[in-house]
Amino acid sequence: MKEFINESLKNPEYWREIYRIIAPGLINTLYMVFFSSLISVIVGSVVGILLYITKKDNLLPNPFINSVMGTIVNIGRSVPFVILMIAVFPLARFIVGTSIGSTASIVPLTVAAIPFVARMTETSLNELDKGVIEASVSMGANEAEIITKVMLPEAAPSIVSGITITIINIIGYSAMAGTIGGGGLGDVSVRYGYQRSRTDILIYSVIIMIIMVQIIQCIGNFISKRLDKR
Amino acid sequence: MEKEKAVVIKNLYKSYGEGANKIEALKNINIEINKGEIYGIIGLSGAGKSSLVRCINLLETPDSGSVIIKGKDITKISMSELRKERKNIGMIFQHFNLLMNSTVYDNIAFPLRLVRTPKEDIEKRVTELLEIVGLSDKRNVYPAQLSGGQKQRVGIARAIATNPDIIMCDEATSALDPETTKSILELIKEINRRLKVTVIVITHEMEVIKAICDRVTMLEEGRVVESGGITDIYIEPKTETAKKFFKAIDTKLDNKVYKKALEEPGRVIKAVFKGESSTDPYISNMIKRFDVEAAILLGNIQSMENMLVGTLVLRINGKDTEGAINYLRENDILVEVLK
Repeated sequence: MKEFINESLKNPEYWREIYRIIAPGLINTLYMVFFSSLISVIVGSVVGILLYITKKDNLLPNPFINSVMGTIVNIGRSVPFVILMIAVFPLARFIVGTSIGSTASIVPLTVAAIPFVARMTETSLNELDKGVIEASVSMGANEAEIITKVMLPEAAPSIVSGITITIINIIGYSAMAGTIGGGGLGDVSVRYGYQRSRTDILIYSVIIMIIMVQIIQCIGNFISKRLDKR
Repeated sequence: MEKEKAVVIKNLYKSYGEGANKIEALKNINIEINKGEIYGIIGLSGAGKSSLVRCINLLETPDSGSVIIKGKDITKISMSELRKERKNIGMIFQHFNLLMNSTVYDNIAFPLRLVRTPKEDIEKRVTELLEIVGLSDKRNVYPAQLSGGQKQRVGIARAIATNPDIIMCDEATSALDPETTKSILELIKEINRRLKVTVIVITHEMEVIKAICDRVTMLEEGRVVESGGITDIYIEPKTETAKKFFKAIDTKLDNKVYKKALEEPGRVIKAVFKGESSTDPYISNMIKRFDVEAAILLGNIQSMENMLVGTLVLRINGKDTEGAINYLRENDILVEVLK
């Protein structure tokens, strides 16, 4: 066995095969993660900001909008991803025309990540010093100016940390999506690693995902640190 | 008439909460602040001074009453007009409230950017402001790298950046050590003089009031208990609150030593010397002329509005004590006969 492994590791044909299997999976994973992160960060941040400013005693207090949005976000966060994924199949079909493949997976990934990003953003904003906001109100800033020039820059380091965690979560979820026809490294691991007992491919997939997570965490930490001047 | 005042507060009420939890923070406040003066509002914590200052720029909406700035009742204007009005009122905070992720430069430029000042003008103005507050070398530093006093200087530069008519200091020196407090107060006073800006100072420290204020209002439990020029209040306090705040000599009258001294023969008087009279030798003249002896029981000298006010509690013994007392009164010395 050992000899067999040694032999195959030296065999360029073996590596070509691995590359042929893994590379499309990796590209699909990156594709899913990139677009679902992008959309969920944009939408989720807006929802998070709204959750924060509609709170009592905040910029635009509105208990109705606040509780409705809060409830939706909570529901979104409490549904397990596997179930959510199946539940949004019709939505995926409606938006991208199919419920299988990487493009279709972007839909459930995004839907799952939006409430997560929203809460993360809200938590980051909660940490803000109310005094700075009061100071900007006293200087005659309007709501839009306070959000863009005060709240977001002041909470940026914390928001970036939240986004990092979100992306890492999406990587994990994307693997799960892969198991039910979503494509990507999760799909590769299941089809080759599990169904065809290709443990080597399973291991390579996992290693690649670990590296991806490490890189993203490092980049996130770096940016967050650069933004934090406290 | 009201147009000549910087701020007029009329019949102002403010409460928080509802029903049984309702707290009346401000009750029928009436204050007139003149243009160009430094006006103090003093009170213990919970007296309502923070609420009051926040009602002046409507960070808090009063229940009723009006706040008239330059003849305009700002409780009756639209939100966009109010924003414009707020740009005319700079504010300095106890905890500085600076943007921690922005440089000193950007913090000071913030109010200028809000009014869409052209870039070159911002550059010029911020440089000028940094010079006024003495932080030219800290231009590109972040607030976290500054000391408390330096942070407050940034706060001051930011407050005066748009050349407001009024600046409000909300416990601006309460988080600072005495030495720094002194320098910040000097800076505020200098700005008041140079820019002819009206300054409203909110504090719980009498030292701050004495150091820079022309006039003062004392708040207690949401009410104005006393208002007026600070020397007037010091010399003739009408309320216990005022006496306590000024640490007036009256509060020391129940001192044991003093009480014992009272039992001895002679008249006991409290004499207040202010301005000119504080430097002339009236006491020794009195002793010589009326052939009396004078023992000093209590004494204290305070400097206010660049004027010295001395208070002495004296026991006078001798031939013509009445004459002696009248002599002091004739010379503009405030005499109160205690015994």
